[in-house]
Order: sequence, then structure tokens, then C-alpha cells
Amino acid sequence: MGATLGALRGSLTFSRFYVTGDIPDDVPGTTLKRIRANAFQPLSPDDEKNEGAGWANIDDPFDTDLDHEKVFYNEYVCLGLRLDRWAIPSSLLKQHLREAEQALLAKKGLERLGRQAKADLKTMVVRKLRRQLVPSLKSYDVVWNLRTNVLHLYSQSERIATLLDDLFKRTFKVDLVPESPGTAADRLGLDAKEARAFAGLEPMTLARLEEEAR
Amino acid sequence: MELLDLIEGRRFMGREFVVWLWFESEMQETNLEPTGADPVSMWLEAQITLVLEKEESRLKGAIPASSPEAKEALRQGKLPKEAKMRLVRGDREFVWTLKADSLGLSGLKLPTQLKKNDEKHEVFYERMMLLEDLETSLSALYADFVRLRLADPWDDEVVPLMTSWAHGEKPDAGAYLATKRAVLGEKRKRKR
Repeated sequence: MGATLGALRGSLTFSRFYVTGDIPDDVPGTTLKRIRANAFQPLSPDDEKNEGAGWANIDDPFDTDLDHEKVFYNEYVCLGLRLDRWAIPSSLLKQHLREAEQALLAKKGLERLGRQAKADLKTMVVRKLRRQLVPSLKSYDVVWNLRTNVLHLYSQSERIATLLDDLFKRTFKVDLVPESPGTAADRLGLDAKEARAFAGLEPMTLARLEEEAR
Repeated sequence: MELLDLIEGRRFMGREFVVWLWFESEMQETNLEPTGADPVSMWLEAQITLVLEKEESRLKGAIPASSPEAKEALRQGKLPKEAKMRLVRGDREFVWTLKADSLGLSGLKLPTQLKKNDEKHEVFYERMMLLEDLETSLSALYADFVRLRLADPWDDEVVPLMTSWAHGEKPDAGAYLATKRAVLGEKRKRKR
């Protein structure tokens, strides 16, 4: 499965970030090892966590064996943020839990299960179902322009932005500042008078006061 | 200012930017001249959503921003939360939806020449070059807006003209352009 919309093809939907902090002079030469260390690791049915994220080839999310050619396109660092998730339909889980609970009650000759026994049973059923399913896979293109230090994440979801923030900082040891009207204005190099005006800015309205009063 | 304040406390500037672009486009018959970037033609089209707190007006049509309902929404104090836009730079046309609160772009169509079967890296570089061209224009427009928004004449001269425009009157385009030139011209001189 390749990304259908994003940096490589289709229309583009994205959020922008500024890469700040101690950015290495030679990103391709110094970061590949850390990118590989943070490459996506397949989920295991026995994991406690329900999802996992890591880097993948921007052009093929199934390819997590990353090398220089797959990641560095001239001045661009190109990665896929791959996110896998166990997605068990709730109706399926409920049905299997009910069956397992009834079987256990019958086996032990009990009328009802305690809280801990129910939790253990749920863990067991979830793991069993995971073995019969394949995790859902999504991959989001990430492109960092090393000349401008602007990064595009091809998603506008806050959850994906949070995942990116965590993975990116862990990998590159730099900061990401989300672009917003305020951060974009702040980066313009405001002079002292503008900075004072910016600090005290109030929203404007084009409604006339007499109309508001009606 | 703390980062959280900078982000959450200044989101309203995105909506003001969109309404200013709309005003600019109408005042200058779509021909915009962002400081330090190539001239562009730009206008709002197809759909616009205006909001005031929980009240929302979603307008669709060929050029909904020209409709009486759009100006009525402005008169009610609503500002654009998102708007579909078209920008022409030279012979290249870009279409996208701007999310005002984040300045995020969605559904951006690039005027690419290469086809998907062309060499993968070349296709990517062309897309990134076009994206950067568009972002250069948008950043220059945003910088002009911010300079004007933070200057003294904003409240005393620009907002009354924009209000008059929103109320269907014919604002003095010459006065607006003179104010804008005075503010941005001053900044340009100082930068030299």
C-alpha cells in the first residue's frame, strides 16, 4: 500500500512545522543510524499497547529497512510515519468475551467472575483475536526541507502531529514548532513597536456597534 | 510570549488574514503585489465558512464571497474559518482550501507538468518546487498582513474601510492603498 495523497502524488493536505534547536550541519551524515533505530517495529499480539508508530519508506510503508537513498532526496528528508493499530470490532470482542466467560464459569462451577478474573479473561481474548487479525496500517508522509527547515506533515490530525512530535524529537534531537497564525507572525522578526502591538492584540470585528446592540 | 499563548491566543489572526485577503482581492481586482515576491492574482471561490463563536455560515457557489450572504455574515461579526482559494502566478494556477485557525492547506492542486509515470524523484522535486513557490507567495502576503495589522493605521484607517466594504458601501480604494503603501513602504525602506 502506498500513500495515495501526499508529498509524492495526488492533492496535498498538510500541516507545517518549523524545525528549531540544535540542527546538525550534516543531517544525512549524522542521523541515518537514529532513523533506523526508530524505524517501525511490527506489533505483536502479546503487546500491552494497542498501537505502534515508527519510520518507514515514504514510498512504501511496508519497507522499514531504511537507507540513505530511501530517505534523503537532495535537500529533503523524506519519511513515512507509519502507525499500526489493533482494531478489533467491538461486537466481535463482546461476542468472544461472552463465550469465554460462559465457558470459564461452567468449568469452575461459578455464577459470576470477579473484576480481576474478568480483566485477565479480556486480555486473553484480545490476544487470541489479534492472532486472527492483521493490524490496520496507515502511513503519513513527512518531508523536512533542510534548506528552509520547514517540515510538512501530510495530515492535519492533532493526534498524528503529537505522534510526529514525539518520534521526530526522539530521532533528530531537535524541536518542532507548529505553524499557526501566531508562530508565523512571531517569526517575521517584529521590531519593538510591532512586538508590543502583537502582545496586546485583540480580535477585530467588521460588525458596527449599533448593529451589535440590536 | 509562551508558545501555547502564541499558538492558541493568536488563532484569530488567521481568520483576520483571510478576510483581509478577500478585501485586498476585491480592492485590487484580484491583482496582489506581496512585498518581496512576484505579483499574483488571487481570489476566493467555490466555498467559504464564516463563524462567530458557535454560529456558522457555510456558503457555496461560483464566487460565494461576492454573495450578499457572505457580506451579511461579516456584518454579523463572523469571520472566515476556512475558504477555498485560487492563486495564479505567471502561467501557474493553484487551488486549495485554507484553514484559517492553523494556516493549514488542504486539497491543494498543483499545476504539475510531469505525469505520475515519470521518474519518481523528478515528480517529487517538481511538486516540492511548486509548493515552495506557492508558500513563498502566501508567506509574503501573510507578512504584509501582519505588518499592516500591527501598525497604527490599522484601527484608525484600515478597519473602517473594511467595515464600510463589508456593509456594501464603496470604500475608498485609493485611501486604502495609500495607507498600505505608507506602512509597507516604510518597512521596506527600513529593511534596506
